[in-house]
Amino acid sequence: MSQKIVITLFFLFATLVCLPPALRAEQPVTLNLDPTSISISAFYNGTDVKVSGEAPADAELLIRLTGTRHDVTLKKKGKVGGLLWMNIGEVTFENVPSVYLLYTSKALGEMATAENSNKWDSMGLGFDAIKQDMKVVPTTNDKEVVFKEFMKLKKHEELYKLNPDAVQFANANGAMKSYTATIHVPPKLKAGDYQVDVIAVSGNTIIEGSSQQLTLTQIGFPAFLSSMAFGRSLVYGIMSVVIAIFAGLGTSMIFRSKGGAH
Amino acid sequence: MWHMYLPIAGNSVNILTIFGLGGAVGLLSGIFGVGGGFLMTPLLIMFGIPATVAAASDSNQIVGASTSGTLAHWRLGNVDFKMGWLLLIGGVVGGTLGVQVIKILRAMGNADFLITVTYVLMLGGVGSYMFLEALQSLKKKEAPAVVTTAAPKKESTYARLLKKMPMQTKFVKSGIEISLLLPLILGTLVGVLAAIMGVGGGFIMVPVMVYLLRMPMHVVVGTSLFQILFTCVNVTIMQSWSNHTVDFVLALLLLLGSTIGAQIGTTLSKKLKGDQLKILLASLVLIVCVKMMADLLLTPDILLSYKGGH
Repeated sequence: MSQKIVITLFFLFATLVCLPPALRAEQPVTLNLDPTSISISAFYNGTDVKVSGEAPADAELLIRLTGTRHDVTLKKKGKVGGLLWMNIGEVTFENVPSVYLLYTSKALGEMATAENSNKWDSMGLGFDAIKQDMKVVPTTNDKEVVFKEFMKLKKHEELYKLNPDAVQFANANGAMKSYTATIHVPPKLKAGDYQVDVIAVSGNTIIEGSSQQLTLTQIGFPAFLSSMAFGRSLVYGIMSVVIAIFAGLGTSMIFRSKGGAH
Repeated sequence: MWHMYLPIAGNSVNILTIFGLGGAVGLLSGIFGVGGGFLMTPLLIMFGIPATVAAASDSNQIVGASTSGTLAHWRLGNVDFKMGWLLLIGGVVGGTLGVQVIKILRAMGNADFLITVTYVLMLGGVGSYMFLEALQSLKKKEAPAVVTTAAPKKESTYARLLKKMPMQTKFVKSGIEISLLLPLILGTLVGVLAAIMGVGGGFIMVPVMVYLLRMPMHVVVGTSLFQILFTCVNVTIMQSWSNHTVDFVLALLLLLGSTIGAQIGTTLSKKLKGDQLKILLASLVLIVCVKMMADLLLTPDILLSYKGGH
C-alpha cells in the first residue's frame, strides 16, 4: 500500500520536473524587468523601467503595461438649450484598465493581419480591445462617441498610450534574438500592482510570452502622509491647518522685522 | 530634484511652478481680500491634480495666506473684528443652509444649469456695477487722498431702512453705525450663495461689505481675509476628515509662496486708493466672468471629466 503511494508520488514528481522545459518550448519569449518594484519617495517624478529578454528571431514584439480593471464614473458635458456647454449627467465605463501602455517594435496596424485577427481580438491587444471589453452605463449613450472622449481623457493623462517603434532588437543568432525597451512610468501611476506582458507576433502566429509584476510603493514621507490622511484623517486635517497658520505667522513676523529695519 | 511627489493627489509637480502660483494668488489675497480659489483650482487641475484634491488643498493653503494677510492688515488697522465675527457666524449658518438648499435644487433637476447661469450673471452684474461706480467716484474727486469710500450723497431708501433696523451698534474700525442683525443676515446670505455655487465667497463678500454694509474698502479687505481664514480652517478639516482630499505637500508648496505674496499684496494695497482697488477687483471679477462665459459657449476639448470640480 505504502509502496504504491511512494511510486505514485515519484511519478508525479518526475512529471513536475519534466514540465517546465516543455512549457518553455511553447513560450520562447522571455521577459525581465529592471527594476520590478518602484519606490515613490518625496522627490519621485515618474521613472523608467528597462525591459529585456529573448524572442524568436523573426518576431515583432508588443510589451504591455496594464493596471487592474475597474469602473470609472465621469461627468458628461453636453449642450443645454442648444447654446451652453454644461455637465448633463454621468456616464460609467465598466471594466476598463486603470492604465494601458503599449510599446511595440512596429506600428500595430502592420502587425495585425486578417489571418491573426481572431487571436488578436481574443488576446485583447490595442485600444480596440479596451472598447470590446468595456460596458458603458447607461446604455443610452452612443458607445463609439463616449469611448472616443474617454480615450481623449486617458491619453491626456498619459495613462493610455501606444508607442510604436519602441522595442529594439540585437544579437540575432539562429532562432533567437534579444530585445530591449524602456517603459516610461508616468508620475500619475498610483501605488499598486501592475502587470507587464510581452507578446510575440511572427507572421500570422501570436505567442503569449511571459508576464511580470511591477509594484509601485509609497515610502518615506509620502507613505507617512498617506497613512495619516487615510488612517487618522481628523488629526491630519488639524495638523495641516496648524502648520499653515504657523507658516502664516512666521512669514508675517519675518516681514515685520524687515519692515522695522527700514 | 525640482519635482515633489504629492501623495494624496497621486502625481508629481514642479516645486518652482507651484511656489510661483502660490505667490501670485497670495498677492491677490493681500491686495483684494479674496481667497483666490477661483484662479487656483482650475490652474491646479491643469497641472494634473484631481479636482477634489485641488479645491481641498487650496483651502488648506488659504489658511496660511489669510493668516499672513490678516496679520499684515491688522497691523495697518484694517481688520474690523466685531464685524468679522458677525459675518462669520452668519456665514456658518448660511453655509449649513446652503448645503440643504443645493440638495433640494439637485432633486428638482436642472440645478447645475440654474447655478452656473446665476453665478455668471452675478459676477457680470457685481463686476460691472463696481467698475462703473468706482470709475465715476474716481473722476468726481480728483484728489481724494482719503482712504474711505464716498459717503452716501443723499438718503436712499436703503439707508433709511438701515437706520430703522433694531439693535443699532457702532463699528469703530469701519466707522459705521448699523444694526447688529445686518451683518448676520448678509453673512448668512453670502454663506448660502457660496455653498450653492461651491466657491469660497470672497468674491461675493467683498462687494456686499462695500455696498451693503458701506464699509471703507481697506477695512473690507482686512476683515474679509480674517473671515476667510476661519472658513478655510473649517473646510480644510472637514475635507480631510470626510473626503481625504487635502494634499499637505501641495498645500505646503503653495503656502510657502502665498504667505509671502499676501505680505507684498498688503503693502501694495496700502499704496492704492479705495476706488483704484475697487476698479482692479471689478476687472478681475469681469475677467473671470468672461472666462466662465467662454467655457459655457465654446465646445470643450474633452466632453468627459472627473467628478468633483465646479
